[in-house]
Amino acid sequence: MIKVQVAKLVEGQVLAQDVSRDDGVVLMTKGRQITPEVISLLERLQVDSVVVEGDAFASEEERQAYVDQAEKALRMRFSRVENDPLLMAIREILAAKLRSGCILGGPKANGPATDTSEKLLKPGGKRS
Amino acid sequence: MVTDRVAAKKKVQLIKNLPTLPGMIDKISRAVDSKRFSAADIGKLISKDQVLTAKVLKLANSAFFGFSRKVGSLTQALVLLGFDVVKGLILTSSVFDLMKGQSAELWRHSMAVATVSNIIATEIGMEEVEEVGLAGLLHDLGKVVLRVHMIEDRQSIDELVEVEEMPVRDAEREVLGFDHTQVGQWLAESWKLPEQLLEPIRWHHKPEASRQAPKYTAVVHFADILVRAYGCGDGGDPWVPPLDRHAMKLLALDSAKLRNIIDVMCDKLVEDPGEFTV
Repeated sequence: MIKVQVAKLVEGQVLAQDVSRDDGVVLMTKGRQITPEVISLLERLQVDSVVVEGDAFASEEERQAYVDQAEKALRMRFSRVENDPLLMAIREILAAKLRSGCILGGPKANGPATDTSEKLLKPGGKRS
Repeated sequence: MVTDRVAAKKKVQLIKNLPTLPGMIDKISRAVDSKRFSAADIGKLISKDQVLTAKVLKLANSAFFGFSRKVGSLTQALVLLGFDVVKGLILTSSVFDLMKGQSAELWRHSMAVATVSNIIATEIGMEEVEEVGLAGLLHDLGKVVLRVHMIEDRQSIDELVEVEEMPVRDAEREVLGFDHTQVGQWLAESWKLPEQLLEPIRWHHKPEASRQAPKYTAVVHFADILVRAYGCGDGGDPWVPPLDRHAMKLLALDSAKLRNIIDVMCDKLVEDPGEFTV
């Protein structure tokens, strides 16, 4: 799922989380499909952004490229604790979440959290 | 490696520069100690500072506390969260004021650790989940101070991490002779923070050393690891640190609980804790 500004919602997307007002009153429940009517209702209710199913990728290739890169970054983050079976199990749970559409690292302001910094993609490195 | 004398000198320098408590905290602490004040009175006292009020409410409503209803007033915040937590929120907002714009990523990391600490504490049935969340929020207090007050050393530290690929805590010790957990401890002591906040700040990398608040420390230790595993924000270096067995024993997580914690984490962090900047 991913957080999307109401102005950028696309018809056919599905709410992944309830939309609530500031005081906790639920305005719309999850599972609802986005239609032009829903968008204009959200605008009238002054909702800024909602969480929808799916991810922010234009194509399956783009999604796959993200998953590959994110999985590489995930392995790099765990590269110094590969002798710990519990941490390896946690890594595998996270890798499975990644493949099932979860965006690791939380969304950044502009689209998916594709980390392109050299720092995060360096392999192993010196241990302390 | 620097000599101990250099380290000692740097330490004195740094301690002189430690941020002081906002005057408001003092006033409120006195009001609470005198026991003649109700939550409403204290709420009124804080409300006089509107900027502070806005910050406290923003934090109280952020993802890591996870209240289903909005916390609308300071009185309500005091009743729901307790005075210690509200005090901690005031502290947090003044600390992070120091680093405005300087390190949004350290802020994201801290907010995410707060969120995950709260999730773990809830999963294992601890009662003081809000306070555990606060301990998570404050755990890297020392890093904030280092970033702001030792700018040149900070650059050497970052270089060791980038070029030598050294974990940030080792790099701090190499350059300064001490690390962010000690700086955090000095600050926590000078602010007279309670043990359950101080010990996770001091021992989140070495939880078996925690005597007064081992469970709080264990939760924050594991939350830090999960957030680094998930990759939210920047705690100074990108690697998942070793997991402490002693801490895991205290948490007594079975695989169902662990899975649940990770599921909730992925759900909550998608809301991007970093957007609740103060």
